[in-house]
Amino acid sequence: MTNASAAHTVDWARAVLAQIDQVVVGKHAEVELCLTAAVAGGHLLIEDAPGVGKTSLARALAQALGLSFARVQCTSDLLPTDILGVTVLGSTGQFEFRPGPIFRQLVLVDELNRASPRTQSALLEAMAEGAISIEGSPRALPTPFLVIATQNPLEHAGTYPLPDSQLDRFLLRLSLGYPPADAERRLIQEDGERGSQPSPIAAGDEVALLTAQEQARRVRLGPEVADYLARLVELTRQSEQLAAGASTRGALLLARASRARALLQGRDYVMPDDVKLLAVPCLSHRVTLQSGRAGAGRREAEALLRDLLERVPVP
Amino acid sequence: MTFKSRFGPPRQLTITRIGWFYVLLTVGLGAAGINTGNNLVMLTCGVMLGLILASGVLSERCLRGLQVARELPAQLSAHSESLVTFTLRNAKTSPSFSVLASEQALQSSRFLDSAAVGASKRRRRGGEKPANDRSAGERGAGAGPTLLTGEDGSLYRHVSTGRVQFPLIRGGQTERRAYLITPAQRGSLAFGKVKLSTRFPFGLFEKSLMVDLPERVFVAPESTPGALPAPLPRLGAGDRGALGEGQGIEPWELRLHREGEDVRRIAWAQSARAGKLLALTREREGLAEVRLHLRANLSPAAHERHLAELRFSAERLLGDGSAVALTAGPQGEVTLVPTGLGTVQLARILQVLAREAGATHVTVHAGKPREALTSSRHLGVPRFLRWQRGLLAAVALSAFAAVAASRELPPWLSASFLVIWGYALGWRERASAGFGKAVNLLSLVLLIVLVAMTMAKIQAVPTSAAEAALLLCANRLLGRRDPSDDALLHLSCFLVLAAAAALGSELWYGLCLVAFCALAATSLTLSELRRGIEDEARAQSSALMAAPELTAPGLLWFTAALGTGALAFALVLFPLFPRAQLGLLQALSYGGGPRVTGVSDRVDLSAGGALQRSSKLVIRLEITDGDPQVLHYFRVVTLDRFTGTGWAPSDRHGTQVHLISLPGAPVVTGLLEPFIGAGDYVPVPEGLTDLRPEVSGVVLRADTQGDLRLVSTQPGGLELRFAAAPERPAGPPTVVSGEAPQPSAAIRALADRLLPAGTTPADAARRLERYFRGFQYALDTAGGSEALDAFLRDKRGDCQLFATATAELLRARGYQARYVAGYYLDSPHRGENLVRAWDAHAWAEVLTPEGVLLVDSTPPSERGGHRVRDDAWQALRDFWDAAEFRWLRTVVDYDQRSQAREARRLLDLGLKLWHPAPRSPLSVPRVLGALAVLLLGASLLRRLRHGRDPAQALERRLFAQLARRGVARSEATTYGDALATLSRTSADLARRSAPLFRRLGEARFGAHPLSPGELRSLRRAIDRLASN
Repeated sequence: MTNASAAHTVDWARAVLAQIDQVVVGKHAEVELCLTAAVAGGHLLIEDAPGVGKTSLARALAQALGLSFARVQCTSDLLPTDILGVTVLGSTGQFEFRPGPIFRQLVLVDELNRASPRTQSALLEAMAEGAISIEGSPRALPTPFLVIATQNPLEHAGTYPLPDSQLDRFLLRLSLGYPPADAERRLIQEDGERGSQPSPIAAGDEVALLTAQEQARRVRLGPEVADYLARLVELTRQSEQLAAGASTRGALLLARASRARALLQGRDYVMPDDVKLLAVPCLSHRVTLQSGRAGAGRREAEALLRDLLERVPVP
Repeated sequence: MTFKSRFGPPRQLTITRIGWFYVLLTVGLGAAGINTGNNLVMLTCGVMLGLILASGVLSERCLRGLQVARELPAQLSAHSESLVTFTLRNAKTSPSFSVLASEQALQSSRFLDSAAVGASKRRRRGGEKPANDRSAGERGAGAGPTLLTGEDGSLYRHVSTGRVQFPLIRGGQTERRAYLITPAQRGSLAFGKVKLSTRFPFGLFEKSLMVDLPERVFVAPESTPGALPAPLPRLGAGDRGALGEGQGIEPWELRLHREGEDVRRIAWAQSARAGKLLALTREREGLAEVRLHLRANLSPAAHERHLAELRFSAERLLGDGSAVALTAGPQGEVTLVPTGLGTVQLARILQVLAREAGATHVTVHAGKPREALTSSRHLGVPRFLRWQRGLLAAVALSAFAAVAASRELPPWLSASFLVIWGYALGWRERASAGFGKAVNLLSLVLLIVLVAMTMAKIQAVPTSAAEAALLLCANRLLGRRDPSDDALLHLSCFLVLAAAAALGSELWYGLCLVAFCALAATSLTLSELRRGIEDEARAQSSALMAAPELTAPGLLWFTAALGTGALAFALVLFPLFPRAQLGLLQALSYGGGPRVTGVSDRVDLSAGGALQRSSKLVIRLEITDGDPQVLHYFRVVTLDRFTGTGWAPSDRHGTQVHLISLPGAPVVTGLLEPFIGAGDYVPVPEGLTDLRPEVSGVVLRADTQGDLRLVSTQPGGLELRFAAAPERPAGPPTVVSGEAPQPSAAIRALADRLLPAGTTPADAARRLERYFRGFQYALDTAGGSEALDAFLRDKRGDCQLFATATAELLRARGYQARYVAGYYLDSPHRGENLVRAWDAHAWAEVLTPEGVLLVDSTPPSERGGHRVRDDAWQALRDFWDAAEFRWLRTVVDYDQRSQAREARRLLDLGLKLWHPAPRSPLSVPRVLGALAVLLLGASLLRRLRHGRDPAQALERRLFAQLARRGVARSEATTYGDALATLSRTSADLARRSAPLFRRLGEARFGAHPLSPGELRSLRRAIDRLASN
């Protein structure tokens, strides 16, 4: 990777973030995490109460990245074909496949835990494989392919909680939370004055994102940092408060996310900072607490991980 | 990993054509030096070896730490030019010069058409090309260079041969340059090894290393317009928004309003918020979906054309925002590429088309040079490289100064050499091809004549060598025009230097050699840099070498120091050359001519005048004690057989030592260093009664004449201390010369008149001195048998005639007298006295009952040739003479015996160190042991202080400084945490320490280690952090 192309990527990332920040006010760190996930080629799980801007964030991300976008609202009667697509008898008298929303580059899956387990697993298979099979024939999904799923952690009635194995498919889990007080005040005040939501301008197309993904793979992760990461993961497995620590895939994905973050910071090498910053969103949904169900103890898991992080000496 | 890659040499070395000349000349000079024992030839050879060594070290510095990467375009297309970019990163701190990156796969195989390869090879070898390039220039005269702008705004040069020249890559920096390739067919193209080579610094050797960068890229078919297939029935807009701007209803994007665009598009509310005019565009309506069908069973030509048309269709449709799929099979039932959109889809389709059946290996032909530029002014050669012409002139002048100092080469040779050089510097860019051929032919004929003349011993080898160099220059300069001519010019200068070395031995030569080395190294380096740039610019037909940054005047100093370093190496190597004097070249050797000392054992009365111009040093006399005024006369040889035209030694063998003893002689001590070759006569100062050798190994012996000769039994040295001892009894001398030869009648008559019978020898001597006072000193007397008579008749002559006449007159009256040849020192003084060839003098001696009496009848003012002046000029002159004396003793006359002596001295030193005297603290084991302990201790200390990684040590230092400012650090604190804490407590401190953290992070976690300079500056910056 050359300095010139890396600088180009950093400029691109800055432009994308600036565009999204117009829409999602006061959430720079979270937006950055989203972009990191996109550059790392992973999927995002946003857990939060309704009405904090999850959908706005996903739509803005799609627009700023110049990706095609689709939104799927999950309900308990949502069928896999609603997402994947159906084969219908066309006007020509032949069966033709009409691709579903999953054939978009950025797919927002709202309230994932409301979908039936069957639909969930169809979706999650598509996420993991990057391809789906319709009537026995495989079809490639577009590249880049990015899924942003949301969950409402407060409401449990009529939901199907995601099993741990499927949570593992998401690279990062984050929550948006409420915007800062002053930002919220401004939002309230300006809502009437604004004609409509500002619409982000595409800062680049999918090629820019693909380039960034390729560059992220070439970012150097030195032996000290790898050692740090390994120690961190090892500690989660040894912790007595955790029933299960992070998996090896978790460590690999954390490394991948760290690479992406390093690239977005304009570096061609990973620093312990990257790992430390991404450890919580990347690992919190991969560990199981000793007591209680996974997902329910999200705050506890995050607190525990933060505590662990302070005990791992950085190189 | 193959055996070769693991155990083979890491670098490949090829010798350029000029390098071969250079190596052959070096070997030839080495052989000549060893065979003739000429030290200056060996020194010249040593300098050339030194330059080779420097060249090796520097080229290694150039290649070391280079990292190369190739950036290929995502898609290549047949018959269209694409850029392949080389990125060179210089990971070390020192710059790399003149590095050529070239594709090996492209160079070696079918990828280039043969004409282009041939042309580039010729160009690389610096060979002939005016005909080629001129015609190329005519072809492309109207086209002009192509300028291409890269994505980062830099200008790429049009490169056509799979190779790119990087004139300068500064330390720690990255350079990007590209070349163009034009594939001839679709298919896949494999790239292989990349060769990084450099001819820096002198262009004599090309050092290279191979980097394996295997990559494969698809070459898509070219795009040929054809019929566009009809789109499938339009799908409803609904869920399927189309990508792209159009005339639909849904908003597409907000962008800057373009000039001339419909004003109704302006989104006023957004524009007002943004402060600039924004246009709201609409989505395209619906989405056209098109299937491209790949037909089968076509003839190869039609198939290719079909593929080209498909490509055109895909580009066009996807560009318009349609969704495109690629199908095959009779009914289109095989989906090759499913429906998709955008550039990614295009890439997929092109890849399939590239690999479609019928694809062969791809041949790539290099683009032809479009324009040949010849003037360096137009080639973008930096101004600073054009000084090289001035340097060339200085190089030539320094070589010719050496020649001039030798005073042996014919003046016409020197003059024509300078004329040729003048031509070279002034008009060499205006030669024509026919003229060049004529010059070639003429040079060949002249060379044959030269060889013939040398073989026939009509002229000496060195003169022939100089003439050959002249021919070489003339040939290259008159006939051709090529940057490598400069290197040839330097070679010719080396030849001239070698010729001068064979002929002369003055200190001037040494000084010229120093100047020559410094200048030649600089000039050769600049010439090589310039050649690289010009060569490349001609090949690329573009003046876009980003070489203006090549203005490092430090380079000049560096290379000058390099040349001087080569000389230093030559001086180190010099004593080690074998001095076998194999004699293989003796038949051809010139021998350098007899050494002029002014004194010999054959005296011809006509030869005295020749000495007056020779400043050759003969004796160095350092008087430390006693009255120096007694040391006017230095006897070298006494002759007692007068032949009528001169003097010769007697045939008889003497047996007894004839000690010179004068009563009451004073004591004088000092160091006498006779500087004349072994076997020559050694001067004995007159007035000394006793010579007591104080250096062991020197014995005092009488020769057949009864003369004292100092014979050294030590190899190579004739040094002794002398002292006069007045208390030694002056016994009656023994006469060894027998009966004197019969003087002529005229002499006898004059003697009878001047010296009455019964006069004592001393009285007779006084009378003769008085008589000759009326004579005139002159050097232009004729020799021969009439010389003595003419002297007595005309009363004018030189000191030889005065001495001969005196001795002959005394002999005519029966006194025992003889002729003495030696040196006369005008005013000997304390300290260093130098006796030269022009101080040669002759006088007579007569035997008295008290001893030998010196009779010098030459007028006192004319006795010595040495003009003494007591001023600054004289002091300067003496300094120069002393330097010359050292030069002669240590360099010019270094021989096998000196070598043996030095070796023994070294051996003695080694033995002394190994077996030290009792209680001596020095011995080799002890010294080595102490050194080892010191080194170990130092490294331990350093490790204790800094840890193993200097960046880690700096990190600790930085955190220690921050702790003083109240920023605590736990073991889990990362740089980011620390900066975040800092920005809360002290924004200024955070601002200042952010770059430090950044650089430390690069050093610790990225692959960008700290250079020593950076280490120092970082440490300083960290310390400053605390001071504020």
